[in-house]
Amino acid sequence: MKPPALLPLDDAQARHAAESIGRLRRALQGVLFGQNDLIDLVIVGVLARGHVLLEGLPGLGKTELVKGLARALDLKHKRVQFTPDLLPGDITGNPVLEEVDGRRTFAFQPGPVFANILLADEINRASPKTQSALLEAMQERCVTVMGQTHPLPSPFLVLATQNPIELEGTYPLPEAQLDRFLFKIDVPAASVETLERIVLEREIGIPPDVPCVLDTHALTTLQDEVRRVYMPPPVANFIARLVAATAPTNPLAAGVRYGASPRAALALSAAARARGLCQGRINASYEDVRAVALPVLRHRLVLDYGARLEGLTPDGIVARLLDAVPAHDKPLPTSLKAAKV
Amino acid sequence: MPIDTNLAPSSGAAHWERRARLLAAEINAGWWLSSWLPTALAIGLAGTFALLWARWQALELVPFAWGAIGVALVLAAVAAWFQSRPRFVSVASARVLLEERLGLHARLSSAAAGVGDWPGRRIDLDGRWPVRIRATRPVMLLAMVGAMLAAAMVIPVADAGAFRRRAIEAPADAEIVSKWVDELRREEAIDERSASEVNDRIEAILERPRDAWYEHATLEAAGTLREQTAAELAALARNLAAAERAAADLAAAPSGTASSEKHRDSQALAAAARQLALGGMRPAGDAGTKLGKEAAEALADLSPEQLRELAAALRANRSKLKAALARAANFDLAALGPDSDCEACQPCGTCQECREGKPCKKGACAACNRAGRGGISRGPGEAPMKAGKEEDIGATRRELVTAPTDVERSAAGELLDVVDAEHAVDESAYAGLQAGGTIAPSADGGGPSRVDNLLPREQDAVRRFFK
Repeated sequence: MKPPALLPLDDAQARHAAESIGRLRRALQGVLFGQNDLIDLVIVGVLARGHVLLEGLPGLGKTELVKGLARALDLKHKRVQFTPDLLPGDITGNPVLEEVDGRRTFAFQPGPVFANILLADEINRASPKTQSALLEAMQERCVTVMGQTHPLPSPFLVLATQNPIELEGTYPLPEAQLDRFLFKIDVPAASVETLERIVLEREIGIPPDVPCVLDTHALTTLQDEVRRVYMPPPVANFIARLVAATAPTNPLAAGVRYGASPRAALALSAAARARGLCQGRINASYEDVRAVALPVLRHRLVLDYGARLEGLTPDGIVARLLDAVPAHDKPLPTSLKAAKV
Repeated sequence: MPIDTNLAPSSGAAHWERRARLLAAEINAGWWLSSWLPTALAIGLAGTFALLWARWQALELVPFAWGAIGVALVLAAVAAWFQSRPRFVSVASARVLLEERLGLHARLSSAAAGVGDWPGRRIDLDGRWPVRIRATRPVMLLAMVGAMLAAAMVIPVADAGAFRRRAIEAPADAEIVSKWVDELRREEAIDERSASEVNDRIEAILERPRDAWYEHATLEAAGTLREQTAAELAALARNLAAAERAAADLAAAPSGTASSEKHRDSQALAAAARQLALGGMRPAGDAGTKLGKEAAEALADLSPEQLRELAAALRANRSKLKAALARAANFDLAALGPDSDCEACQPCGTCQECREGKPCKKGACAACNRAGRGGISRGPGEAPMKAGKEEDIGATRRELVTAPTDVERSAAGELLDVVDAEHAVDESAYAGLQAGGTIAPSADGGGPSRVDNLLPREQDAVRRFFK
């Protein structure tokens, strides 16, 4: 049965949502200096109910960003430092033997995953078995222990950080788990100006003061409004053609071993909607799709050995696809020249 | 970007839909042009040749050629429309181009779907139209087509009729011989087989490629054919004359004439008949029939009446021959010998012939009295020939000997060859007719020098060789 259609937003609702999101953005900009694009993407990920994987060298402020986000949204957050000897139960929780009224029973002791925001720090330092423990939580938003399913609090999102896999003592995340992250965001190094500002305004051991700008209800409302952002058919067509273009059979995607999945198309759609709402619009646009295509697709493309040897990266391939796939679905004749947008 | 949000949505809708339709039409026209122009170029090229051909053939065809070109262009345009139709863009696609180019964030598509308002009309479109026409290629192609067609009307073209008039004609000698044969056939002066043989020779020459008709070998062959045919016709005329004379002599012989004389006359008639039968040209009609029927021995037994009829038939055949060749022109009639009706010939009344009622030889004109026409008085024995000056040689011989005017290209044999012609007889040594018509065969000077002296078997061999 087809679900009932959502009522599209009107301009006033969109503007109001954009104002709320603007407050959140400004709050996070007070936490992390000089990383506006990163902050915007994290907000888009949160609004799209997606999980975000942050990749960057240690000390770039990833953890601070997550903490700041939790405080700004007044959400319960937990932090797990992934290590090679971490066990799945250390994340999901374990049954503990308890004696109540003379009877011994197993009582479930929730793990750190039972929070609104789970910061999985250096997730790729844990073994694949432990990493996989997050799969059900990320996808189903529940945890099953000893045959008993425990729902996670809402909203729930995982913000994981990982070190570049070339570093020692890291395990690459399995593709199935990577696919469950909405975004994989590269955290760039801070510029000189940013570093100067950090030196002037921060001290070691003293966390930044972050105001609470949105409560849980407001966040949930915003997430619902994202679903009501209109996706025009031409934009959906653009998303479909972009995702289809990542197939290895496409000459433009030469070097790709496995292309993006339909989940990637859904992720693109959700992220584009969220970005549209961030900009105060009632509909998603081609520009939104282009803006979120790189963090959505880069961890979903598996390159072949030859491409790696040639130095091709998923980022380069996605950029090539964005150049090659136009917003309009039909080519233009040679007697006409498309004007540069 | 200034957006007038105060306008009514419907007004904006009409405005943007009109723009989208315009853009779609422009893109679709581009596709149609892309499909039509190569065909138009091909039609232009073909039309150029068609116009040139029409102007070459007949000017009346030029309007039809223009009409065909126009129809072909129209049909190609229709075919191009059907061919490019799958690539046509819809108004929705054009809307996508518009909203992307103008940075409207898919607002047009949303508004078209009923979500949100249409943008205001005051968005500046100057310099922001989604597509630009690359006019260079289409304009150049169309200009090329126009230039080709214009050139086809301007380039000087020769008239095909003139071209046909400049067609290569058959060698003149072959034409002349063909005309002779036609006239002779019409006059029935020669038998059909002789005429067919000559025609076969003409066709053998004309079967060669037209480009080779004026090569040296072809011209030489045609010239040889003309000379050979002329010589054969002259021989036919002479033989007819000789047969006529012999028949007349035999018929005019008095009843008391010695049998030896009658035998000589009959022998002469038989020899003439044989010559007629073996010649390259054979007479047609009564003369040929009658001579062919009678054996040589039987000729002597013909009655005078029959002999006179034979003589008359032979004379009539000779007259036909002469009349036909006179009409055909380009024939030396003098080579046919004197005409018995020659007005210049008057009987002297004193010679033996006049006394005996025979044709006078003394009063004959120079043409009729030429040597070799039965007036040789020397003999029996060899003809006392002498090497005279070239101008003394008969016209036929002079022509034959001097025919190859290009000495540089002539072989020695062409100038010194033995030709089928008359002897260079010392006519000054002629002392009147003494025993005309009674010359022994071993001394028949003045007769055909080469062919006629050959045995029939040898003559056949020579004829086959030249054939």
